[in-house]
Amino acid sequence: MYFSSDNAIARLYPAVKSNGDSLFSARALHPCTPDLPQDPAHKFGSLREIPHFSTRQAEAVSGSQPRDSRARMSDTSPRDPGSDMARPGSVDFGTSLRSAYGGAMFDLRALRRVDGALALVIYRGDW
Amino acid sequence: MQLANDLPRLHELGCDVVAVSVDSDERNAAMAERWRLPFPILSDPGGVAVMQPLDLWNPHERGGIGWPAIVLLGSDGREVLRFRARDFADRPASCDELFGAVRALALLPLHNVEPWVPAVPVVEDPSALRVDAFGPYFRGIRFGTRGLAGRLVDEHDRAEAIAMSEMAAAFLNGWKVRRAE
Repeated sequence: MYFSSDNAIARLYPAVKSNGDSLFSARALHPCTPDLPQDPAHKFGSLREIPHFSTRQAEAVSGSQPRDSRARMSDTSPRDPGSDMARPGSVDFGTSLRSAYGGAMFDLRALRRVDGALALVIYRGDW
Repeated sequence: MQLANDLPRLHELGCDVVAVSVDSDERNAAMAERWRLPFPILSDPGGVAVMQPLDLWNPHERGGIGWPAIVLLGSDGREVLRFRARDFADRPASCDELFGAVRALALLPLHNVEPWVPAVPVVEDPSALRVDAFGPYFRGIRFGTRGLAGRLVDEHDRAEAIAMSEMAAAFLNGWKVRRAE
């Protein structure tokens, strides 16, 4: 089945077209690093009380899959600011991802220039 | 699926939804069609663009695949909230916490957000859960885990079984709503 070729994203995020030249750094993604301003939203879920165990830390320690079994919706606890290993890399928001818009590319800069907030969902084909 | 049902409410709160998967555009289009998902699904093969940089990449399964996750980004691009699944079957039974975090951002509503309209041929993944199997699959999970919860002695284990049962119930309810729309 084919659908229309309209690029809804371009309409959703018009600002992307005119102003999207910055890269989106890990620091920006993880506001719990100490030199960033505190945001009231960070209060949710007692974030700072949950011991964080990042994927890469877990792999380094156990050589297996992460065991942060309590990491649920509230898993925005601080990445250990003293450990580069705990800090994820940067998303290059200057790149684009293929989307199912008939070949149209989704500009990752849209994720930064969105007018409101954005819930980014990592999907799998399961369900 | 819950987010699909909640999308109008999220828009009212100033939040949009975009999904990312490792699958091809065509399979993503099939998934969107199968489950009537109204938000974009982007393709990130190998997880190199989004999943790996966000520390949401599981290299140990299927040759590499994303951890099921929801990451809430504020309007300034900063991460506000994160859910990351512990395994392939782990999903939040409720989006209440996500809604709470979005509300706290106090954003203006997003108006005139048009639904996502895929524009590539749909190519079904033969291993994907079929629509007609959805109900039996999740009912099995719901009742199985509920029964298991009654037998478990350890409090934490029982809570895990109950959580899985509630998740399955939420999926069943979510699909009921999707189908009705």
